[in-house]
Amino acid sequence: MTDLRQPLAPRQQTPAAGGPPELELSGVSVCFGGVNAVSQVSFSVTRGSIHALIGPNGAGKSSCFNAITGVYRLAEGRVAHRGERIDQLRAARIARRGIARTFQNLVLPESLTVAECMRVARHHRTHAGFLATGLGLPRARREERSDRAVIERSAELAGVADILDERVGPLPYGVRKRVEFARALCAEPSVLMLDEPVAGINDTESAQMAHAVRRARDEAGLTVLLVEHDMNFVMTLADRITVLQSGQVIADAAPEEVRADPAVIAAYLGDDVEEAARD
Amino acid sequence: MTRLLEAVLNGVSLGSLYSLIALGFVIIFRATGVMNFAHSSFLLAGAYVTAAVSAKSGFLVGLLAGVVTAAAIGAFTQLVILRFSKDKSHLGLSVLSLGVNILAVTEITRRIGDNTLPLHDPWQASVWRFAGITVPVSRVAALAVAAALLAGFLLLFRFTRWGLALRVSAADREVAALVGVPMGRVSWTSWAIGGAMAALAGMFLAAFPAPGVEPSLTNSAMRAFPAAVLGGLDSIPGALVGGLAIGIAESLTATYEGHLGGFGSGASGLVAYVVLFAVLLLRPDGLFGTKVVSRV
Amino acid sequence: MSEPTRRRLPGRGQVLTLGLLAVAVATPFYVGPFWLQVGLTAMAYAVAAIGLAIQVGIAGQLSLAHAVFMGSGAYLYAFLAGTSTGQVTGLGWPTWLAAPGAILLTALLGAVCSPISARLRGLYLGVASLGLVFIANHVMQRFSALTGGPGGREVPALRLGPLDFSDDTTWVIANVPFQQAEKLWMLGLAVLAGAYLIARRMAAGRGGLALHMMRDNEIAAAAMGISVWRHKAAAFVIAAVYGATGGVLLALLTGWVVPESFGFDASVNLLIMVVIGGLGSIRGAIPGAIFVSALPLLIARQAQSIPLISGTGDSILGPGTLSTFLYAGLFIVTIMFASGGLDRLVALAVGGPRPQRRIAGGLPGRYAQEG
Repeated sequence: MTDLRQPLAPRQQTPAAGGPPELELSGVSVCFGGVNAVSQVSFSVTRGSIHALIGPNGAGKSSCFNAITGVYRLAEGRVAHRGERIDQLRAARIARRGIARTFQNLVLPESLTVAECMRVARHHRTHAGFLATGLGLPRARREERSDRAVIERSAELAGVADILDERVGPLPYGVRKRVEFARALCAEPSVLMLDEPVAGINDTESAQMAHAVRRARDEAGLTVLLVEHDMNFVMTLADRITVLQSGQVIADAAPEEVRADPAVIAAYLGDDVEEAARD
Repeated sequence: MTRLLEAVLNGVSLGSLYSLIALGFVIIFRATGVMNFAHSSFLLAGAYVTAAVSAKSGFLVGLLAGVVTAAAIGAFTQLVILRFSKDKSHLGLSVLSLGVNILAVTEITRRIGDNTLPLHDPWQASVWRFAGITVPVSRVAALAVAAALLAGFLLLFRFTRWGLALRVSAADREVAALVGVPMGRVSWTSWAIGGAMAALAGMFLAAFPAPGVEPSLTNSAMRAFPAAVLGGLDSIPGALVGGLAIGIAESLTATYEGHLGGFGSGASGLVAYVVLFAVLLLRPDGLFGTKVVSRV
Repeated sequence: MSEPTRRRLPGRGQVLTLGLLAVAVATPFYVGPFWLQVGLTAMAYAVAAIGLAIQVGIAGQLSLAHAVFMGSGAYLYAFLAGTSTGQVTGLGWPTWLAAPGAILLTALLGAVCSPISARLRGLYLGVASLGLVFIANHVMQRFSALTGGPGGREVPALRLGPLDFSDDTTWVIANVPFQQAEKLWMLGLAVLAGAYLIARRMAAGRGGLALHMMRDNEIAAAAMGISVWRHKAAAFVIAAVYGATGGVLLALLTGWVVPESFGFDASVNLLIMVVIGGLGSIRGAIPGAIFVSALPLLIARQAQSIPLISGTGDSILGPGTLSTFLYAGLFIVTIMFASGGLDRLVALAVGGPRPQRRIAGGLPGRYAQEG
């Protein structure tokens, strides 16, 4: 297995070809008490691409996300990361493979500083135990310093470098969303999963986030899988789009094709997708 | 054989009392999400007032006074202490109830002092004998009353608006509030009912085998906590099953203590927790508790 | 805390800390046995309370069994270092081995019990830990060969190489005779200072941040690669180590261990110390411990001059009862209105850009508002 701890060399813009897909869902179903949130969903995410998962509310996008990251158990099907099956692993093990995610609800403990929040994501990249930290052993100090370097890099990319020592609680929502993004970056993941990264923020901030996501992908060679409702954001950024409706895939193609797909337009009842199609 | 039968019967009766206490605990948890560590103080308060008042005005008046007092303390705790707390997390409020417990138990212990307050109950130490088995009347009465109350509560739970509100509030508080369930009323009435049940159970626990109300009553009360937890903190049937399980286990241990050697004496006080550990090892959410599925 | 590029407490904090330390070191030269006893008791509980602050305050694991760890440390020390008499058995180990041995064995006990905390949600652990308290109490009362039963057993004085921490020898330092109490004072201070520094570093470092995240949202913590069960277990073991250390100190200062000191009431007192200090604050656990442990002793001493206590008749408030009312009341007020606790006061005194990081009253997210 590749050593995911080494920082990845910067990749080219276009997604790489060859080798197993970075992420692959095959016939995935997720059930809640008899209701299928996700039904026989299959799609793959090419390494180094930005892949969007869209669909009307209740389509099963979040459930897919949670199924990939091990929060939900699959009723059937499989999820593979670089050809290796991950759907039976526990969430923490999946994270340690280099799959990082953000949360819609922003999991940023209020009383921590921005830097501390980001540092939590470094957990599985470092090793110092309680004793080593408590006694201030050299290894612990060394890790602290290298953590700080990664934190500063990620913060700069996300645009939160100047507030690293501020407490997260009082920060405005848009800024906290950027912190959440920076936090996921700190894990130096190979797959970055973004759960509605621009929900609830204005157009300027959305544009900044799009820019940051693209930069992150280009500089670190990440693969990005995102769930979003904002069509502009998705259309500008995505290399490929998978559309869900009522737990099933109704389209899985490049943005231009998806835009024009009648089934997709119907699913959204016209408005958002048509507008984007007119651009 | 008769010994075994007696032990089981005693256990069922004791268990029904634990079920009553545990049920109050579960109702409070379902309605407000708080693990009420003050529950044992409600029990002690009720039993104390019962004893104090029945000394002057007779048993029934005393019992009424005790139940009302405990209900009032429960309602007060929810209405004032918990309602006005700035820290409203479940952990914070549960810990807060612990503080209430300390205050209440300390005060009542101070009043009881070194005495054992007699209850003036109508059963005293009388026993029934049939088929070679000896059963204390007070225990039979306990079982009858507890069963009636539990049945009554289940009816309330199933068929009244209040019961419906309780079921809904447990499921989703926000939705419940939005749909117009009177959350405030459901909250304090749950605490009051919890207190009342605890007081009744407390009276029976103090009636037999103890000669009356002593501060150590709280130890018995605390054994209902594992009963509630092992059944599943939010499960009504769980409270019933848990209470019975612990009651029977305790009674059997007490009867056969001698066989456990020197370590055995007093072990009946522990068996509740041993059973709890055993259950939690296999089912961390309790026998019938709902597994928490959190939304992320 | 630990940002490498941003250093140091502000000047005021450092000066105050040094000043406090100087006063603490100077104290045994000036005060009498009563105050030494108050101070030593406070130190022992402060060490234990720090461990509980980490477990409850930072990791969010409600433990009502902390006194069990203190008891384990105390009794194991007495057993390992004690000699066998007609009443009890002892292994007769040298005390410099018995003390860390007791702490390590208790850490093992914590590790063995940790699956309880790993499997259970925070609140359920509270009830399960009650079980630990009662089982431990049962053991302390019944295994008389080891524990001396309800009457307890004697605790041998500490001997670290040439240093004898008992009344047998008297050191004379700066013309002041140092007997057991004074010597233990210095030892206790050193242990408390070390315990505090280690705890602070742990809390601010990788592990502490993981605990904090875990308390806030276990699922998110797992999504960041944090092993939740392992961290809950770690919190338990840390609590065990700190509890045991406090227990050994307590045993040394009292010279005798009894089961009552380590039961449910003691566990609740420890929780009160941590809450009053400010839930989640390691620094606050120390004033919290001082308050709760010193209050009953102080009130007892001043019993004559306090009208409530010196009355006669049925409604006398014993000093124990009065102090219980006082700190239970403070406990309630703290949670209800001032969850920053005593640490908030310390933060004000020390000044600086922000108060020491602590859990900002309550759990956000899933644990929705309640009332």
